[in-house]
Amino acid sequence: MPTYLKVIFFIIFPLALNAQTGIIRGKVTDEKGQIIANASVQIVGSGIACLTDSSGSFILSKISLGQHKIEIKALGYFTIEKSISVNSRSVVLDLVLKETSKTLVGVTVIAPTLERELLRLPENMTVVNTTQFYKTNQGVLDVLRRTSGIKIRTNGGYGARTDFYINGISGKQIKFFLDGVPLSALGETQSINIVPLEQTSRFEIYKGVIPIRLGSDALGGAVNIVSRNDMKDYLDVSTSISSFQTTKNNLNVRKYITNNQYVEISSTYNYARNNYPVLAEVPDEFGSPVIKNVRRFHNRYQFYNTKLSTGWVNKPWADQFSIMAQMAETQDEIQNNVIMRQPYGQAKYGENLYGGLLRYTKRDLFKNIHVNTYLSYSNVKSAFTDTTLNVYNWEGLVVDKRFSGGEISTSGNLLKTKTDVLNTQQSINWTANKDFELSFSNSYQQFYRTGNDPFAFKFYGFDFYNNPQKMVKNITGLSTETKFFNERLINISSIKYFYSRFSGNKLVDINYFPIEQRIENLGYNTAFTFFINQDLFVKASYEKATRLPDETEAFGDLMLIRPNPTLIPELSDNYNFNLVYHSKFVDIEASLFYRNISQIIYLRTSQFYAQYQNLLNAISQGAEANIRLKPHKSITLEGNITVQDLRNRSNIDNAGINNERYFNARLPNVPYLFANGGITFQKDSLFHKTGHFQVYWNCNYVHDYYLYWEVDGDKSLKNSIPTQFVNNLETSFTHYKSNISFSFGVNNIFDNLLYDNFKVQLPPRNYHLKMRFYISPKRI
Amino acid sequence: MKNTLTKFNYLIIFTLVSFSFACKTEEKEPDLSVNGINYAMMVTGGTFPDETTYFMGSKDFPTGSVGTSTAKELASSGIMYKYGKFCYITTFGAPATLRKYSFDAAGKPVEVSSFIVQGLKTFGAVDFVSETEAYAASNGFGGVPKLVRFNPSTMQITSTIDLKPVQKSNATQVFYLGLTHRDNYLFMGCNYQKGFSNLADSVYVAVINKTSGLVEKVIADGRCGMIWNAGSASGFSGNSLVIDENNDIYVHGTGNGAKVPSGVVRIRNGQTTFDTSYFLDLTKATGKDCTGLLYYGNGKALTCRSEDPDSYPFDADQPSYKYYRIDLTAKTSQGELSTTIPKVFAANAFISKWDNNTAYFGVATGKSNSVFSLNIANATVKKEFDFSSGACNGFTKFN
Repeated sequence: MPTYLKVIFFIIFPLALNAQTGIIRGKVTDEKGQIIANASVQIVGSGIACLTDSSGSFILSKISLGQHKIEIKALGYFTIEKSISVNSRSVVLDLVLKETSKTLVGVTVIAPTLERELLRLPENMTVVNTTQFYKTNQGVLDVLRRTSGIKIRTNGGYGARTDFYINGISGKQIKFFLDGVPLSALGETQSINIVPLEQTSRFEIYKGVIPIRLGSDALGGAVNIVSRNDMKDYLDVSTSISSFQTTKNNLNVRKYITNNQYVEISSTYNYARNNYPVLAEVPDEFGSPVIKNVRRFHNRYQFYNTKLSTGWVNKPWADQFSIMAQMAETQDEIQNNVIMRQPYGQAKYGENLYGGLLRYTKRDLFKNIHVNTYLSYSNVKSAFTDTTLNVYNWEGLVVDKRFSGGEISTSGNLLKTKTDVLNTQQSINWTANKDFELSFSNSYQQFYRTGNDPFAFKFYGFDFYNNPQKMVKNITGLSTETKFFNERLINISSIKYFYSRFSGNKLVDINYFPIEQRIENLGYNTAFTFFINQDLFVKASYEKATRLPDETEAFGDLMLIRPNPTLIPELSDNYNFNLVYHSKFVDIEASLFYRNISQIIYLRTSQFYAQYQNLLNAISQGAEANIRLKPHKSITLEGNITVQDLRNRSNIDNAGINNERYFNARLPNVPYLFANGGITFQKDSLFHKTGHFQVYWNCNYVHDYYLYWEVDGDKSLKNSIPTQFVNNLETSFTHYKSNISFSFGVNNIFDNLLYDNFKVQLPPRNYHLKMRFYISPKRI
Repeated sequence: MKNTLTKFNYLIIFTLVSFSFACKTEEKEPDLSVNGINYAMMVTGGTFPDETTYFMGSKDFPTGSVGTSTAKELASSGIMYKYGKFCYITTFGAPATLRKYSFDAAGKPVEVSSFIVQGLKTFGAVDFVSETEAYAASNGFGGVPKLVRFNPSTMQITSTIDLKPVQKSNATQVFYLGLTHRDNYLFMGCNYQKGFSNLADSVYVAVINKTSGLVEKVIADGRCGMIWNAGSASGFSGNSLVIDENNDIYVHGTGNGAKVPSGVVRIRNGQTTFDTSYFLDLTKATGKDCTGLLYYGNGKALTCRSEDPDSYPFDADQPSYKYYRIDLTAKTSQGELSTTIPKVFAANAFISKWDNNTAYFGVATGKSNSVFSLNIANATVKKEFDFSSGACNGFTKFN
């Protein structure tokens, strides 16, 4: 070949080829001009992608000429997509990403678009941003209580046992997660009612349709607490004191030791004496009950937890990889029986937990394949002590002595248990193109518990708690996300496979027989979002839900509840419909729900013991509505109302009782009408030129309801929870220069007599004062 | 003038006297007959998992299907007693509470007064001696070992009787089941458990001196098994201790397979030991083990015969007992009460009578709850009325 032809071939030809492709180069920064290293930059649908370097720069080459979409992502920032035209050799872009956590004039809020983005997903969910409450004394329960469709019932003050209702679904049928890790087997130290709010960034509340990424067998309700994950250094310290000798203290520190690696400490110590006054019957010397205003005297609650973690972000091999170790402890004095008539003076329960968590997330680990996985292990030790022979009255005095037994149980207890829990989940997503994504998820949980109780052994002649109990649970899910009509219609459909195996001991007469049971079940769901326009959309969803018996139902709680390893899953057909409208000044959401639940596992109690059994069927249906108005930048008005109708659909035989009259009767002891409302006023420089002032008033309303079947008894002589209307007020002031904020609040302003679960009395008017110091210097 | 003044004085005196009588009348406890309530009844209503007790009254003898729309709702299951013109109700759950009920002008139940014993989980038997003396025993679970003496008129505890002498060192629990009185003694049935088993196959009765308030002894008889029924003469459920017109006390013990039969032993009038010459072998007399004595006079009683050897008196799954007639004096059984009556739940069996002609008893099956009458003279039975909600555990007449 002649030389000139070779030059033409090897030089000009490639140039000619290159002339058919282009190059995109540029830089990625945040709103303040800070460079963002390791941000992902890709041409959508092409497989061409790269990461920004340490100067925030990137180059993408061999891009075909024409119209493309470029997508830029980085952890801690909103993803952006931009249409570009590659019609020359080189296109230069300067791209700016917005942080997901944005500090505005001393107030930390999550930009509303994250919540709104999540709400646009087809699942029926509510998102609650918690960062706005850091400077207040609000706790997790206070925040969740204000959410439509949610009813929370407690048995007393801080740390008391709590029952959750979501659209009528209650208790065991609702699952709780911390960053997708199930909390149920992790004991009381991980109970949602004591999770420090300052360690969270938001709550995701799922109603009716549960995504496979939670790996859950919830029957129609799940709450996922998303931990705080600031992408910058910060120090957040707070302390508060409240009525009834309550203090809550929190420390969160994160420090980036390099651009990509951080270390973090989170620590909480909370204490409450809970000695609030209640009206109680105190028998006089003749046994005649005298109603007295007494103080709860054996109700202390103490909780601490400490988490140490380190993590890497925006690395080529991981978006985020973190290692966390934690320890936590609770100490809880048990004050009374379920209906608050019999006081206890020494029974108590304590628990401690040691555990660790590894988490790994990577988008585009392989082309269009994204991976999210975690592995967690926890060791939980508990101690239940019920050994005293003293008999107490409501004045805290010892009035008699038992001959044997405990305050709570027949035998008395000195029960210690040890539980090992392993949780792991692997989620893999494949983005085929911008309109289709396939996801796979597998969640595995293993549970092993042993215990001993020398007191019960001495009483019964054998130690039941010495029998180890094991459970394995695995949930596999496959899901598709499809977008139609230029993303105006989104569908998510899933299929789930549930498997569990547990082994324990079944009590027959006075003998124990080992038993092992396996349960398998399939579930599925589908959900749609249709966007009428950018601000108005409708959602509809359905799930055939399954809930596997949990470890407490299968094994009992080793105190008052006996095991029943023969349980089968609960099933439910869940339907949801939502209409959502968002605009600058108003957010409105209206929802309808319907649940048809069967094989409900319920705690059957008798004189001698309690046991969970598959007994009931029920229908829950209702409606909820939310509205939020922002007539002015300083004022926010919000309110919601829930109406729910729960009907018995069981026809079980009881001893000599004709049950047909109860078919379709309203289920007792469940509220059916409740509402919340609130007004927030906030303003900069109101009292001080470098300060921010906020005042927040909210109210909760619960319509009265019967404790027992509505169809029985004279209405005027029935037991009921009276109408509850509680008003709370909180003010806060933040001084920008010093980074200190103060808040002062009053709960139950009008000092109403409040009742909750089984008509247990709740605290009267109470006050709290909180101080918080928060600083977040710029990252270099 | 003098006569006018005298008449005026008389008028004043008359007015004052009348007023004082009126005040005295107001201080009296409410009279049921004044409020028109002649019958009272109690049922355990609701359906699992929310079973509760409903107490109500009626002017007329109930007929047809009786509901609970006029009833007072009481949490948990309950036991009813009747003494004089009041009902006394205790419900399960700590602290043990006994409430005295009457009815208001509208015929609705109203609580008159009550007393509480802290440390007791529930009352198992309440025995009324007079309008000012009664006794209440707790229903086991270890608890505080004491018997409470109270005044039913004032509902005040007057003293307690220490039951520590009743305990046995090798028993993990003691249940006080059944209470009756005679002469200067209380007789209280005791059930001893070791773990989940009977401590022994024997009847145990504590003999308590009312004057001294001390337990004198615990007597035992191994010809039949442990006492398992509570109750008293003022109650309605199957008893373990009944006293007849001769003042003889009959004590029922359950069977234990081939080891001991269910049977009845006796404490003769004037004695505080078991009569070794008397034993009614119920298992032999009726053909199977029996539970409870439902006494209706002149030595006659009903008992519940177990139709299923694996059944337990307090089973709630299927009814598996039949009513049988027995003659405690003659030590015989007259056979099944009636072939028309289906199997019943023994735990819901009750009997009540207020004259010598008729007794009323409960028929609680898996699907229905009824009250039947028994013609004492000819032993015929007749269904009187049903309950639409719950099994009856007390039915009585005041006037």
